[in-house]
Amino acid sequence: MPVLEVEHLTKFFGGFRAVADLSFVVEHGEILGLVGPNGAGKTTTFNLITGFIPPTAGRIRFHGEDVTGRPPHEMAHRGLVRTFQNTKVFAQLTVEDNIRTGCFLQLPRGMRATMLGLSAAEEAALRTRVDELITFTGLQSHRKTVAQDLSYGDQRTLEIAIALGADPRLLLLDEPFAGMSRGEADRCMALIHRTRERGVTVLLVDHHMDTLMKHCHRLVVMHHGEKLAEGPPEVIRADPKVIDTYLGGRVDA
Amino acid sequence: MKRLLFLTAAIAAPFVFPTIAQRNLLILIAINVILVASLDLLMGTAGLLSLGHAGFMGIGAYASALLVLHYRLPFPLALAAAAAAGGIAGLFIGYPSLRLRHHYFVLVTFIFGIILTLLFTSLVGITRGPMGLPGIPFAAIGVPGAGRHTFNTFQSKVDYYYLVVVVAAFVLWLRGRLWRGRLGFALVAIREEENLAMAVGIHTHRYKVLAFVVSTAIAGAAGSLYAHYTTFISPEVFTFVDSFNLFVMNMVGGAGTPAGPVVGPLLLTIVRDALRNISPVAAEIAFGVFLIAAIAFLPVGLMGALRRPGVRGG
Repeated sequence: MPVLEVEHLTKFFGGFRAVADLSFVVEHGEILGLVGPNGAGKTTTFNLITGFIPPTAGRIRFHGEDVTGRPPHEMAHRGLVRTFQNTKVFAQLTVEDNIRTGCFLQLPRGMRATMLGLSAAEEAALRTRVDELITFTGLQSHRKTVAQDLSYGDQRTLEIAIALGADPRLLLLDEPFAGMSRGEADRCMALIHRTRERGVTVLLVDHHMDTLMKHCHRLVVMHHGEKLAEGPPEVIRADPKVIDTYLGGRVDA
Repeated sequence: MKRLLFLTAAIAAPFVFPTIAQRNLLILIAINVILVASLDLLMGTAGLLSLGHAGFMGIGAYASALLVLHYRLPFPLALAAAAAAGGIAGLFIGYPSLRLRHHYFVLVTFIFGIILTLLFTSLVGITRGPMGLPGIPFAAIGVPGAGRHTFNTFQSKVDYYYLVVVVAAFVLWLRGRLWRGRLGFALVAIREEENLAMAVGIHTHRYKVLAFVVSTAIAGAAGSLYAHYTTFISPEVFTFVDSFNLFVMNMVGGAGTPAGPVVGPLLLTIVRDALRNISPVAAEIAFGVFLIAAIAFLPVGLMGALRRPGVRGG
């Protein structure tokens, strides 16, 4: 069963059609790239899938269950966690506290844990989890750094660490490489690959076709809110519609 | 260590300041500590400002006073009922209005506070309106063997002062613990980045409502403590100006700092009392000036300036 099934997803903002009859699936364990020029409807699609805005029409299924229109916190609870295009971290908290907050869903429930704080054992378990994520993402040297003082690239890494705290089954990354240097982008991609190896399926949005071609198992190409093409990189590369509208005209071999 | 110091000072205070006027002021300071600490549950974590807090205090005060006057409810039960009344009112107001963010929410609390003052004034059949409710029984705690107390004896004031201090200490303790629980995590995350908080699975609305209900319940309890101390309440002590003053105390003391809700009320209740003896208008103007000064020069308050606020209060 696919992790995510998007069926005939449509979103109108007033008279503007941002997403139109979009259907695709995300298979377990893959890195799927959602690509398209600015304004193609990628971020809107993200917001629809993660429940930040309700669709005008269409269905979203997660592990076979209809989750259309469910609120973001419930999506996260089901294992569907996102990052944001314009980096969002808890700016005034340290790296450590950012990740602790990301682990919110792992905190013990009940009145006592909610109102009166964690027990020593619970606190230790949380610390272990946070330590593991700090090591996994390579943020050891910044443990006590306040998030807003981090370099841009490290902030994006922290974003992923926060998201991993929620223990996602499907991680949606909205333009994780935007504004990154070449080296930072490579390190970020390596982190995404390691994340996949943990068993997390990844849905990646970007407008850099070449980056996604290199790293994704499959691609979904969007244009004016519609799906233009879907398939593995080599198929996309050869697709005449993609070449015409996105890669800037046919190149004769 | 610091906490012990505060506690010792609080216990010793009525003996250092033994006159009726001084002890009166001590009790008012302690009640304000409770109110500001409850306000800070929202301000100091989620950055949510309620400008209708005196209204919730008023709900507790009227609920408690009326229950004791008409149904002869014992004071401890009336105190609990006042907290319940404040909390229920908080739920009704908070549930819809906390869907709004930032200043839109502030606006709703502001308007609600004004509506409450109008209700206290116009529901003459229940509250006696602007005439106020006189003759509320003074809740003397009574120390065994110390004999009967009346409102004006020194002894009864000391008893009552200690009762209020115990409640204040409990509220401050609860506030410290809340910071370390799920609720504290959620509220700080909401202040820092609400959309990210939702994305990592925090049901932001639920936690905001929960914090608001706890906060308004405490305000209700403070209202009961006030009513059974002054033995007279009227709409004019639960107005927007009173809500605003609590906000100034919170800002001057330092929102989200451990000692802020003690220092702010301590300082400003005394200043207000001193200025009121000169002119009531002077007191209000001074509070406005304090707020501007606090925002301009001490955005993290007195206690925050002394020590950068622990982001999770730790």
